[in-house]
Amino acid sequence: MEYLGQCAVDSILLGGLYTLMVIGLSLSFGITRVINFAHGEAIMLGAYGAYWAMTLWNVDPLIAMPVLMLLGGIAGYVLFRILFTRILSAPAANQILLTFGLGLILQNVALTLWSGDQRSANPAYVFSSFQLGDSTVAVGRLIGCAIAVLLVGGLFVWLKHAEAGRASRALAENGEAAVLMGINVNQMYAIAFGISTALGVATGTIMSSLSAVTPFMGFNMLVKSFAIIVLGGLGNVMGSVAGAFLLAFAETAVSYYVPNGDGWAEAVAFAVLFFVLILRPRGIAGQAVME
Amino acid sequence: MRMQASSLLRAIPALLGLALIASAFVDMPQVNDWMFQISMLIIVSVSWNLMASAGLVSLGHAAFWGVGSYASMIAATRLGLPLVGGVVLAVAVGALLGCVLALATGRLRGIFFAICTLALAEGLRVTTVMLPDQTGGASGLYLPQALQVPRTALFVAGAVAAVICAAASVWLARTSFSYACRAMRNNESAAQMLGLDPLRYRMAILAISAGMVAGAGAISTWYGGYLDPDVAFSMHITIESQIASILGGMYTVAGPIVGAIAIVALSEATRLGLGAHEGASQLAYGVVLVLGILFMPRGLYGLWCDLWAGRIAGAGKADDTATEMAR
Amino acid sequence: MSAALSVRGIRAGYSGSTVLQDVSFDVAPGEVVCLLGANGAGKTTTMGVLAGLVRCQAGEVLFDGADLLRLPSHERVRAGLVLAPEGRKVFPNLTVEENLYLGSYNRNARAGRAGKLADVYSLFPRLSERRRQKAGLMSGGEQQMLAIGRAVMANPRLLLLDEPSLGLAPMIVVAVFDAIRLLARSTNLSILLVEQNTRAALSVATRGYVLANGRIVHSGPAAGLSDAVALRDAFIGRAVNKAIGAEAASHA
Ligand SMILES: Nc1ncnc2c1ncn2[C@@H]1O[C@H](COP(=O)(O)OP(=O)(O)OP(=O)(O)O)[C@@H](O)[C@H]1O
Ligand SMILES: [Mg+2]
Repeated sequence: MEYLGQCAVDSILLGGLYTLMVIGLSLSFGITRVINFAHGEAIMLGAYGAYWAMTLWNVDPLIAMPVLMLLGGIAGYVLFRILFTRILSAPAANQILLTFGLGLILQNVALTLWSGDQRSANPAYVFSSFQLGDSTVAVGRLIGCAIAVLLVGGLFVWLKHAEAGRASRALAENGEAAVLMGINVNQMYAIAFGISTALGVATGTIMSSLSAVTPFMGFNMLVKSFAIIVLGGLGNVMGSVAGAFLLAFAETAVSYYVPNGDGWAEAVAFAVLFFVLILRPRGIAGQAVME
Repeated sequence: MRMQASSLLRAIPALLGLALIASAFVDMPQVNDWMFQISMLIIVSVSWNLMASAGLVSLGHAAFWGVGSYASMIAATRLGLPLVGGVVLAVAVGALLGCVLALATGRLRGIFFAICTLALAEGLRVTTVMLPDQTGGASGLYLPQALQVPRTALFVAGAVAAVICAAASVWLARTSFSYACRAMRNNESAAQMLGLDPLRYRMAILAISAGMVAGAGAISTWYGGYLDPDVAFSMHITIESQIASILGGMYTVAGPIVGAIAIVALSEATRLGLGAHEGASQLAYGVVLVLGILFMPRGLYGLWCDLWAGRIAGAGKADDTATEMAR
Repeated sequence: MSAALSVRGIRAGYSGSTVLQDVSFDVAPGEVVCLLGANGAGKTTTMGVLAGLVRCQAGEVLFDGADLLRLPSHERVRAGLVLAPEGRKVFPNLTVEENLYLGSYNRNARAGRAGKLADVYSLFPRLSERRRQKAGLMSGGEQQMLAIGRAVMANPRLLLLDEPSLGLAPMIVVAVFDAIRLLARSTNLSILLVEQNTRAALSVATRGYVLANGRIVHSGPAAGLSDAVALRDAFIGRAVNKAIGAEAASHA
């Protein structure tokens, strides 16, 4: 097994990013019970935001991030209040199709405005790297991973200790009882959705310098997020973290050790999704996946 | 009086079917093309709606379409299998994939089933790209010159296939099958208690739905003459199949057909109005999807039923059942 | 400080069915009033209307003289009307202390949170021992204590208790009702208590109403109610027949 160290380094760095990518989706589902098929588009728009900030005003993606997250959070909050509150108790089919349609709109607005060209925001540091033993560590990925860990950690602290975080956990457990605590449920849903969107935007901002920015990048990431969520158990935030690192490891290993691996790595998420649902339809951590 | 009206109503679908087939012989390329699109769209949306009415929301119709396309194309290039054989093979392979999907997804419902179908379509696309020796990979496959058929034959094939699928859905809606579907949509475990075996129904539904779409994929492959993974497993198929049902009216027999016509009209209109820009029609679809779900969840057909019921005081029985089915 | 509730002729139910017909009753400031009735009489529905979980079709509810039905559920909590629901409904994966903190989520209760927490712990020392335990892992009696404690944390002026004795062993019922009696002594609290355990309920209440098939069929001071004639009638439904008969007569 050559490259074992490199493989480990790469999967850890990728896993951190995947955690951030999936945590927003997991959070909004856990609380509102509506799965957001347009979450990938929040990532995509975040990436474009960072790209344009870099290209037009020469602002580093990491500096643009807080502003973009704020904008994304507000957009998510407003969108939820306008669109999603209407379908909270609608059949699953309507929820799926509404969010799917929303994603379609955002994708094609981006396509119309900015064409399908692949772009990338390239601040100087993403090209540098250093040696760690036998392995090379790309500075861009390391920074991305560090920020992801910071944001995810922040989310956990918020959930654990903040008044609203505690309330949103209560809401996830029992909506009716949450009402009796004086929690404004619709507002809390919208706040959770706003945070989820902001986390998606943050993922996009980091991605803008690590991979190609295109109108369709979000879809790919959505499918990966689903694979992770299914691995970790739906609505289980800790499970999502474990799932993110598992998928990152599997993808990295395939790309290193399988002939033609870079192409096949793209299929790992689908294979994972399919096999987990077939073999362990309750997720690896045992959460119910059946509805 | 009512008798006449309802028998007239009953004759309309048959007449429309005949008109669709007859249109293939009209020598107007633009009309032929529209009719072909409508035929294909009717097939995929009837199929999508059949699954949806059993509570199975598909985000992966592209998988069925692509598998049918590739089965017929590979058989044509390797074995020289002609159109009819290709379509039969595609239907068989599609139905098999449907059965496998039914077995694999077991009792998954709602979003989990939807996610599974999405993964299936994308997974198959990546697999086709990665197996160039078997599938031609990203550079694609061309239909051999010798196997090409006159366009009129393709238009007839498309129209006949669409009529068969629509007729099948009408027939299914009249059997106890439709009750089983509705029971499964509302509550699978309750359906089980009624003595239905959900897995058997699921396999039947998925085999029929997937077979239909795969057959359409094969016909469309002959029309295009070329196939690559992005064409075969295009997300557009998935989107068009669901959007026609929603615009027309989910869970109704007429909905997908009404929707298919409306969608072709809509995409022609956006093409004329906004130019042949790829994003424009998709954007329009997205808007239709969102507005449809929010403001018209029963679709055009539901709207029509409401208007009709309003016109004739004490609405007829046929309208009531239609409204009932739309729920 | 404690609040007055006045329910005037409410009609309420669920999609397709009306459960409550013309229900009226009052709770005066500082009073403990109980609402008795058999299974399915509509007691929980009444509580649901007050808490804003069940839509009211007709009638009015005045809370300290102001229209209660206009307020959304969460604002009723802030106004001081707090329900400890039937079946406890604690948050199972949150700790006992987190559950209590959630009780004082509303802005009017946050300031005095530490003091209230100490009060609740002294009322139910058991909760203090278990403060770091997940609420779902506690016994039924402990969960009931938690549900009441959680409601007390909200700084209520009118406390609604829906069947606090439900499914509890007699000894635990005694402990729970001792606590309710202590709460009742506090001057700034009115209590509306729903019960099927008539004896326990009447031991703390000053007045009571009997609900049968969605109508108030009897009301009076606790002592009178425990004479039980009306009560027994209500429980076997005769009172309803009488009431319906009376209504039919008045219509004729
Ligand atoms: N969510 C609901 N949807 C429809 N009907 C309901 C609902 N909840 C209660 N009901 C009906 O309303 C009636 C009154 O129920 P309610 O729960 O108010 O009775 P209760 O007096 O609290 O009974 P118990 O002592 O058993 O708790 C019953 O006939 C019940 O079937
Ligand atoms: Mg009750």
